[in-house]
Amino acid sequence: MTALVNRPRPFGRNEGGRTPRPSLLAVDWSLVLAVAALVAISGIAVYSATRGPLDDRSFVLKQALFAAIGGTGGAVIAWIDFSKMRDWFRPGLIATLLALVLVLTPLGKEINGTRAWFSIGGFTVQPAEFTKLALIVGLALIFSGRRTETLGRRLGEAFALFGVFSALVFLEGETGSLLVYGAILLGVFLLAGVPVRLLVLLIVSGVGMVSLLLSTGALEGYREERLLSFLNPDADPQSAGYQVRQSLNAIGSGGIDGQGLFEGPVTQLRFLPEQQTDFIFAVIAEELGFLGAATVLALQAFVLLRIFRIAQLARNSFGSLLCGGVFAMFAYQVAQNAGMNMSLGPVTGIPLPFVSYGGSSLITSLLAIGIVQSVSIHRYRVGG
Amino acid sequence: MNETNRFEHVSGGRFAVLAFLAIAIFAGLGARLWFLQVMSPVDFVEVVEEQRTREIITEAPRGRILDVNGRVLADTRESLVVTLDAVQLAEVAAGSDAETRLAAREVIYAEVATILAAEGVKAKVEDLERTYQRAATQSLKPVVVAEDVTIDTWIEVEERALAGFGVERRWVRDYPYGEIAAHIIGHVGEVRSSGEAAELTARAPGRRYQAGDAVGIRGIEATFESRLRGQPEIRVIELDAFAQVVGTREVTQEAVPGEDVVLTIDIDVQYAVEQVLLDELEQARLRPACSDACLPHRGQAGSIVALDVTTGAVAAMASAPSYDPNEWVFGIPSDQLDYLRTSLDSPFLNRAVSGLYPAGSTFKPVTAYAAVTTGARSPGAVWEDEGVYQLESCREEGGPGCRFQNAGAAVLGPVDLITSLSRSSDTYYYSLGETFWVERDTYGETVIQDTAELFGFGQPSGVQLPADSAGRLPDLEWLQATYGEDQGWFTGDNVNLSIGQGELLVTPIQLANAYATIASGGERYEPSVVAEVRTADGAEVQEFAPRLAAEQSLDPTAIGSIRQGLEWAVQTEQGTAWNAFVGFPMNEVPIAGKTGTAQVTRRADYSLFAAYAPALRPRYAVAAVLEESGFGGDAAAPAVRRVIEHLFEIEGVPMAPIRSDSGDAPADPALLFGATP
Repeated sequence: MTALVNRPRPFGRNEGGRTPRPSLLAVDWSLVLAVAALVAISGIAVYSATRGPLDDRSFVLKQALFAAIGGTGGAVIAWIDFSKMRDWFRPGLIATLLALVLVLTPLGKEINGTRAWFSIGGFTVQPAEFTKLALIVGLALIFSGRRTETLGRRLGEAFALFGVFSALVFLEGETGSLLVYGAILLGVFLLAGVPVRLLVLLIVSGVGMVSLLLSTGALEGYREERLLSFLNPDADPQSAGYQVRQSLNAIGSGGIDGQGLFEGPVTQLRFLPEQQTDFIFAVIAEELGFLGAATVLALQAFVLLRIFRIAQLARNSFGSLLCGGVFAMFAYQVAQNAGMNMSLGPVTGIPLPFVSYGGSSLITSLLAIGIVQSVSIHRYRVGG
Repeated sequence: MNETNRFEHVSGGRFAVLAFLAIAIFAGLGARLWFLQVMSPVDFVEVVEEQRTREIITEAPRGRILDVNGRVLADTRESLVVTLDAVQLAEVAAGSDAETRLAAREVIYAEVATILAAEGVKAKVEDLERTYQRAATQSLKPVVVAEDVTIDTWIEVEERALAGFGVERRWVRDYPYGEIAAHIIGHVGEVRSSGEAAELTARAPGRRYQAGDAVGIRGIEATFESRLRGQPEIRVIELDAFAQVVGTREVTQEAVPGEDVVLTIDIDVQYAVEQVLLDELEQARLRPACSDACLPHRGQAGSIVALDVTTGAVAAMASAPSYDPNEWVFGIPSDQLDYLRTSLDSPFLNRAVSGLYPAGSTFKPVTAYAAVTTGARSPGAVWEDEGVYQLESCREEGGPGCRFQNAGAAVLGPVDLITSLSRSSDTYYYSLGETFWVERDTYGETVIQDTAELFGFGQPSGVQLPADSAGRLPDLEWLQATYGEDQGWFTGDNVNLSIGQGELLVTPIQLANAYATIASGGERYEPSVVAEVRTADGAEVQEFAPRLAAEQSLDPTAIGSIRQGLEWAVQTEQGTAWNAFVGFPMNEVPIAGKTGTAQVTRRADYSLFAAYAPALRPRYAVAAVLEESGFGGDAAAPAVRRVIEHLFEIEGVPMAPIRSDSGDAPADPALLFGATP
């Protein structure tokens, strides 16, 4: 460890020797541990949900691989001063837009009516996930520094960025991600000090847009059905409401200490569709009970608490807003995913951060943690 | 803070709002989780348990029905059957309109029909669709469309993966003797709906039924359903979300094979008796009717019952026309079955216990017994039979409603009780009928009916078969209940009843049992068609002992005279049954019996004969009723003779040609039914 600490600064420009070197001591280790715990729980839950009668380990091994990739990537990002993001943003934005457009072409792959995937060597990559990071960085850039910029200009840029991403993602059919983008937008706006009346207006118009979408039937049938089914899960036991009902069955039968790992009948007999991704929370709740599910929620809350703290301690508003965007993203995803598992909200394909099976999602989440750690590690630097 | 540099730092207030939102979210999620997992009023564990398990009810092999010598009359065997699963067929082309779906099904039917044609099973596309519609509306388990198919067909059906069709092993019911004894054995059919299954289950807890199971519908199959069915195996299986069986959770009820029912009949004797009935009906059809005025002999139906006098055991019980119970085994509706169901001659009707007939002169012993026991007329008292009887009560005014006459107005001259039976005098009994009613203050209003009850009339025989009719023993009460309070019982009603006509109706088994009662001198048994019931492994046997319906001693004087009259009817030249028994070895097996010829409106006479043998130490009582077949002595008496020959293993003796003017024709039908000739 000392070797690392004493290494000549490998990253970043020298900005006049006023900056301490990045220090492992500045890493928020409790955040690392909480995320590691969630990833570990994910491994167990994904294994339980996918092992099947033939002890299929492919899912959990892939998830471990994704965790390794995401963890490594996150570590690299954490070590780099987050102010470097300013330089990377432009090429990052171009790459993101390119990916979002290309996925709409025949290069993209359609799964369950959503053309949102690239298929690369047996893995599928979902650009809409990584777009979240581009959006967070972009919005944080727009609302930090640049003293002379007017609020109107900043809002204009922010809506342009959000609008382009949303439109492309909407074309893919990824309405779930669209909602996450909205949450990120609101989170950054909130911390950036956008006037309250504007925020209220934004929320109202957002709700209006969603209702408009539903009423005009612009959404394909099954998506609308999924959105509406939470209102009455028993309306159609075989389709959208079926998922919610099975999820409730799974969670409800978990009790305090659960049915036992690998022993939850709803999970093991595959009554729960998409159980390793969208409904992983129900799997944990069924097999590990209230103790397990509450632990997951507590860890998620702790992750958010640490991000919140790092946002407060960030050395500048750019850092704060980066953390704010990540905070909003995770908070919304936890609320949405756990909420739909417990029939508090509509069924959308939004993963539970760190826990749901899926490479793009897990890697994106870990990279986001890397950004937050970067803000934490480089918080003493006063320049830039 | 001016507008531009507020983007330099995030204000504490905004952080507070964010924190507040996050806390609210987690508080909400935590509360919901607690509510669902710890406080929920819904027992989710139960809900999950219900959806992951299913009870599979597998019928146990149904018990067999055997004859007294152990020959199998109803068998259960395992068969490879082709089944139609309505649930799967309903999924074919799901989502399209009804026409497309039907067309898609018909493509499958055509393939199935081709495969089955190789088995020699004719399955028409329309029939398969009919079967599907029925199964779909009644939520049946997969319905059998062909049985006893070969392994090749099995492979072919499996290979072609025809949606909705499969091959499985099933128990199937088999009736090796076909039409023989069909009315006794009965048959099984399928439980047609889950509602019916629930009803059956409620009646026999532990013997759970499901739609599509076999259930006894007629005969012994119906009355001994609970013993024959056995206990189905109930297995709780675990299913996954795709309805794939994961495994067996537990077997909540082990299968217990059904018990075997052993009948009292010998299938050879039964077969012989049925042949006799069919032959004699055919003979009756060939025999010309009395004259142009008489209605043609249709001879289409009839029944013969033979009872063991000493135990009440049924030795044979024939009912014609019959049917082949195997027709019911298939799930496919068959043309033959449709024919049987709609036939006006009711082939499913077991005439032995459900056929209702006027007793005619075979009822005379009852009136005779009443006469002797009430002192109305002693056995030796001589009655001058003038061929015609004018009611005393309306002798003054005369008129057609007051005249009752013998068949063909034959004048028999002086008769006593014995000869009134042997020669079948009607006027002898008319006068008794009138006397009983006119002097009802002395004899009571229902002396004939009360006497008839001693012989078992007016009540179900007690045999273990469904639809065991009580017949009809009419009296004033019945008349008023049926036709209205303003009806009255008149002398004419009593006169008709005295010779077994009018509103009186009896079943062949009642008639046979009444003569068995005369033969035994009073002991009346409930006829029994079941000898024993034993478990499939033969370990436990329940024997069916004779059941006395009434232990009564009848007046020996009256019975003695009656028996003599019945013997003379057969054994003396003047007897009405003499011709039918010419050449019969009476020294070996003396017979006593009574002919009867019953009128039924707008039909040829019904031919009846009831007898017992041997006359002195009776062993069997036999009654025969042949519908629309003419005089009792012409059709029924020869039938009973041949039955007795079989029962006593007497070599067949050629019979003398039947005289069509033999006695015992009752009064002019028009008079009996109260019309003006």
